[in-house]
Parts: sequence; C-alpha cells; structure tokens
Amino acid sequence: MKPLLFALFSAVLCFAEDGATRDNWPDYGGTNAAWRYSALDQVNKTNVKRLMPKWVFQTGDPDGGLQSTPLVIDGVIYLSSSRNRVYALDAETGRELWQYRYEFPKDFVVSYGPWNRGVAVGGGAVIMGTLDNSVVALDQKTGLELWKVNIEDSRQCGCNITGAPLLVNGKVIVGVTGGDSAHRGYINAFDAKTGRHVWRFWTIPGPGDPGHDTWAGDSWKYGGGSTWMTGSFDAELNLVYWPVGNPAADFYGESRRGDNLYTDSVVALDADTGKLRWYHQQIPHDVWDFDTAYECVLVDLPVNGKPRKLLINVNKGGYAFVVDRTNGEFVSAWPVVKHANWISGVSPKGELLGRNEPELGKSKFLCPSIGGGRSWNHGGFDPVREWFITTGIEWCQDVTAQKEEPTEGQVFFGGQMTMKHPPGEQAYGHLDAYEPVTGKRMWTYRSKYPLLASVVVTAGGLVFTGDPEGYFFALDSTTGEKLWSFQTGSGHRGSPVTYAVKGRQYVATPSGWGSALAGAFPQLWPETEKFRGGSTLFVFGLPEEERK
Amino acid sequence: MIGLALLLLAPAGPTADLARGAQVFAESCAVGYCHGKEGAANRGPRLRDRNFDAAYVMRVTRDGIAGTAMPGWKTRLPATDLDAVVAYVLSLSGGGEVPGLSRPATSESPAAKPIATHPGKLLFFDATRIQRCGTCHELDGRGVAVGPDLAKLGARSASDWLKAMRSPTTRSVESVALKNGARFPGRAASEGKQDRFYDLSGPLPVLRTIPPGQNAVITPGNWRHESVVSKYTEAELKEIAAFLAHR
Repeated sequence: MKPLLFALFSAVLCFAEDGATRDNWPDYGGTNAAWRYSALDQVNKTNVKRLMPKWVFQTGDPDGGLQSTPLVIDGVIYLSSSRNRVYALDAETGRELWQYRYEFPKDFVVSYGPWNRGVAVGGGAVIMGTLDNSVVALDQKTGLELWKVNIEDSRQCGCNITGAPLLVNGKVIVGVTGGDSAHRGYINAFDAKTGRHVWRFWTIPGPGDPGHDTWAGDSWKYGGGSTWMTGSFDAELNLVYWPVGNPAADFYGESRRGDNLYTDSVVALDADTGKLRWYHQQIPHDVWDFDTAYECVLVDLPVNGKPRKLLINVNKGGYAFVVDRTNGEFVSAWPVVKHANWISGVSPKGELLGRNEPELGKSKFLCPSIGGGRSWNHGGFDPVREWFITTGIEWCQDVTAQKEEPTEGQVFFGGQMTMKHPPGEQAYGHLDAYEPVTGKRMWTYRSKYPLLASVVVTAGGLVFTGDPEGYFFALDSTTGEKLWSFQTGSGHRGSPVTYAVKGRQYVATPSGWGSALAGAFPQLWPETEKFRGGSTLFVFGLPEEERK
Repeated sequence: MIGLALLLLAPAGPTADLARGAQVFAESCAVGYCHGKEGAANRGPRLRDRNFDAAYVMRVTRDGIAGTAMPGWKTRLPATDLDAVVAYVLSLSGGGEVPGLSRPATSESPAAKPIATHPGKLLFFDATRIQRCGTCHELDGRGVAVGPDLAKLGARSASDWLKAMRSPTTRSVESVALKNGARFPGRAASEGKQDRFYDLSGPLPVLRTIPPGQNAVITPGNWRHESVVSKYTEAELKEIAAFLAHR
C-alpha cells in the first residue's frame, strides 16, 4: 500500500463519520453530523492574536438579537435574521448580493419570538422555516421566491418555525415550536424542488399507534413535544435524528399521566418515509420543562474498547446522554452542571433517580432553572482530541406548579417561576471540554454571565465563541486558555462559523443580544436590562501579509 | 395607597378583581416566553415600576402590539378578566409586594372555559389531520385563505353545502403546465394573474412562483374537491355542512 493511501485509510478508520467542514460551512451543524468543527488551520494558536475584523454586516433589525448560523457555500454567505429576512453576501467583502423579506399577514402576531436560527441551502435553493409556520424556498442566485407552503395556521396552533431546516436526499425536513402551547408536535418533510409534502412524524402518537397509551385521556392532543431545533443525519444508516422537546403543560403533569412518549426523546426516523426506527427517552413524564431539544452530535468512538456509532445530546436538565445511534441503546449519561437537584443522578441503565418534582400551589427551589443547565446554543466536537465541548449554566429557580386546562394554540405552561442564584454562590456560566463517553472534564472556562452563543472548534487548535457582554473570543482547545478576544458592541446569542475563500480562512460571528433568556437575565443580574441589542455579522481574518 | 391609585387609574373601576387579575396574569401572561412572574423582566418587558398610563395598558392588553409577540386579548379573555388583569398590571407599577395578591394556585380555576364549539367547526379545523378544511379555507380568523372565502358564498342549506363539497368540477382550479415539463392542478394566487399558483397536487397547497420565461400554460383541469373531502367520513361531512349552514 502506498503511504498516501495508507494515511487516507487510517484516517477513515479513525473517523468513520467525518463531520468536519473545510472551505464551505454547508449545513447548520457544519455538516449533518453537527460537529461544528472545521479542518481549517490557517488561523491557529500561534497567530490568532493577530486576528482582525475584515468587514461587518448589519441587518438593521435588532429585535430578538441575531441567533443565526450563517451558511457559507463557494464564497457566498447565506444569513437569516429576525422576521425571516435572508441575506446573500460576498464572503470575502461583505457586499450584499441580494436580500429577501418574508411577507407576513397584516394582523400577524409572533408566537414565542421573532428570531430565526438559520437556513438550509441545496439544489439551487435557500430554504427557511417561518414565523407563520410555513416553509419557503428562494432561488439561491437571486433570492426570489420559488415556493412556499404553510404547514398549519399559526393562529390556530400557536406555533412557528425558528430552527433551521435539515436537507437530506432532496428532502427538506423541518421541526416546529409549540412545546409550551396546547399543541401536538411534529416533524415534516417536503420535496426540496417542489415543496410537496412527503411525510409527517407526529411526536405524540395518535390513537392506535404504539406509545399512545403513555398519555392520559385527551392530553395527547395538546401535549407539546415540539421539535424546535435542527436534527442530524447519518447517510450510511439513512437515519434522521431529531430531538423532541418537553410535554405541555410544562410544570403540571397530572392531566397527562404516563411516560408521555416521544417527548424528551431522541427519535431516529427513516429519512425516506419518516417512520420511527428507534427512540430513546431521557426524561419520562417531564414536569420541569427540561426539553431534550438540542443538537444530536454524531461521533464514532470506542466504548470499552469496542468501536461504536454514538449520538451525544445534552438536555435542559443539564445532563448529556450518549446512546448508540444504530439502535438507541443507552451508553452513558453525565452532568454538565454542578447545581442539579431535580434528580439525584442517572442509573447505569439510563433511568432517572430521585425525582424532585414541582408541587401544585407550593413554591419549590429547583436547579437548574428552565433556562437550562445549558441553553440551545450548540457545542462542538474536536475529533483530534475526541472531546465534546459544551457550555453549562449554574442557576436555579423557585417554581410553583398550577393546574391549567388546555385551549388549542394558547400558552399551556402550568406554573410560574422566578430565577434564583444557586445555593452559596452567584449564578454563572462555563464552557468545558469532556471525554464524551465518560463525561470526564478536561478543562473549564468560567464566565461571569452564562454563555449563550454556540462554539466552533478548529483544526488550528482553537474554540471560538462569544459572551453576553459582547466579547468574541478564542480559547486554546487543549487547555481552555483564552488567547484572543474582540469587543463587538453587543452580546452573543448566535453561532459562529469558519470558512475559506481563495485559500484564506475567515471566522464569522453573529453579534446581537436578544432572545427569551436574554430577557430573563435581569431577574438575576439587574444591570443586564441595559445590555444593548444588535444584529450584526462580524467577519475576522489575518492581516494581509500573514496570509499564504 | 395602592388601592387609591387603582381607584384613580384603573379604567376597570373598583369592581375589577385584583386576585382574579393575578390569576389571569399567572396563567396567560407570566409564562415561559412572555412576561416574568409578577411582572418581572423576561422575554416580554418588565412591567413592575413602570408607571404605565392606564389607557395604554388597556389598549395594549385588548389589541396587542402589531408585529410583535404581544397578542390582543379581547378575543381570548372575557371582559371581566381583561379588566382584572389590567388592574393587576397597574397595581404592579408601584413595585414591591402587592398586598393580598399571593395567588391561591390550587384553587379550581373559574377561568374562561373555551366557548362551546360546533362539532362541525372542530372537524373543519381538526388539528389531528394534516389535511383539513382549514388547510385551504379561512373562516372566522382561522385557517389559510387558499380556496374561496366561504363566508362570501352566501347562506346555503346543509344539503347545498354537502353538494358543493362533492362538486365534480371546480372552476377555480386549472391544470398548469410549465416549459420544464412540470404539470399540476393549480389555483391562481390572485385572480387573473399567472405568476403564482397554489399547487394542489399534495396534501398541503404549495404556492409556486412561475419562474420568468416559464410561461404557464393553463388548461381546464380535472382536480376534484371531492378528492380532499373524502378524507372525512360521511357523518363528519354532514356535521361540517351543518356547521356551515348554521353560521
């Protein structure tokens, strides 16, 4: 065997699932394995100190901040912002190539919030879910509308789409919000060319379907189970993995006795048919709003010396769950926070131990807060060290459950909460690197305010993310040491990416404070009420003379 | 002091029930993505210590703020609850604890029960179906206006509605053929225009923009309304017809 071929072969052996991006950032999670890892290394530990802004793009609409993941394809950035606006930008210069503004009905009321977290690009189209629960496809070259399909009237369902679609084999797969409304969640697939509806997976099984009996009475009709983030895809297994959120009402579970499948589960669906292949429920009968809603990171790692195809998912309760992604078998679970008193732990079989539930009409101190032991902002996987890098948040709440009856499409929360500092210390956030199977912490970076931006990990040995005070910064991915930072003028709630054009590496980050959690910050940190909003994309690169 | 302020400010007058207002606020306003508990900051703005103008609070509560997440509550809450919640929000203006307002969360809620709805209307908007009447017809502020506005079709008997549902021909849906070979049953998005059509070939109508140079060729179509209503049973269709006749 020739040396080069051998090198390639061994690389394939090490990383059967190659989730790295290179010049492009083609999918929401980097690739559909959701690593948020780039193989680019031109910007590295040695030269990152000289990183400087190259251009800035302002969307002009700061409401809800800028929460998007920009996609980069062949030198063009596709960026979405609040109220379903999309911009195509020259990735080298920031020049606007086109912009699109979604047209809303006159009397339109936004459910949840106006933000958008990203688009999907493929087959010549830029595809986005909308605040009125539609999916719209734009011509990639011109930004002109190709097709648009409404899933159901947002006035009726009290739901919308803020997550990025997932493109799989010519199908566009989208989730929906509505987990805190009287709504029954779903995942829909459409033909990316024509917009024709192909399949729907109901996250709450209907009468006659397996799992229906995990819902008391009619509670299945209004049981939440939203799918508000973006799933992942394993092409070899032809499986789409999607995280399913909390049941409704969030804090009041009496009227929905049972395990409430498939809420707080990861479901694996056949990409062609949407049929359920397996599921793994992390929290049976959730009464904390602890949402198994975040990214599913697909990695191949040894477990007890045996190579396994794994899936990592962190929930709002502050626990990372690792399962075998071929069959959903539980592998391990470990906490990403210190303050978690809603359970005492997870058994070796994956069962929750020592459940500590909210009580009807009585205030109870529970950690973490419903803001989550982690928010939705995504972690990253470093395939070189085989570490998973994710945030954690140390904060608590007083919560009182209250009895509520569902009204279709209306808020269905079943309780009230007030954020509290954890016992004996001020609330804070941290970013940590872990061995994914054991949960062994390899380094930690502490932050005064919780970190609410995603990370991007690079082959240059760097982790980039931003903080609520407006700093965008780079850490050494081996040690967690801060190597560089830049003040962008508004806090970070979006997802940075890195890409290359004509052999030059750039790092792009949304900046713009906003979102539901940002709004709740003043309950713990009154000064944050004055944090300035924004909606700006910053792009950084090395000085001209340092580029090869 | 607070009581006096309320008497002076609250448009609801002294009859507005603060305890009830606190309850309505807890169930409808202080929820995850909206206002915080007892008016604390959350995704929605802080309401405590704001010295709001009473008329402003009433207007925003009733009508909402267009283009934002603040809905109008005049169609969602009975008038007495509207008055109560506005009085409660105004009571938060002074900050601090509002005396006597720690809400009995376990009490059996006398909250507005959903208004009894015609079984035919429930079927019309039945969310357990991907495809239902409301997928293509807007009625009373719900559903999607793809097909004809049924409210404008005038009064009809239940049997006439049933007949119309099963109509074998549908004038407003034609066969649309594009240069690239695509062909679908389509309804023009705006009458007389041929730049955008609702494609009715799947379970959810797709609004397709005809690309420049594609020049849609329109011929009489053979799409039948019956093909979509057949997802309902005979008995269900009769209920829907009864509802439409009853409106």
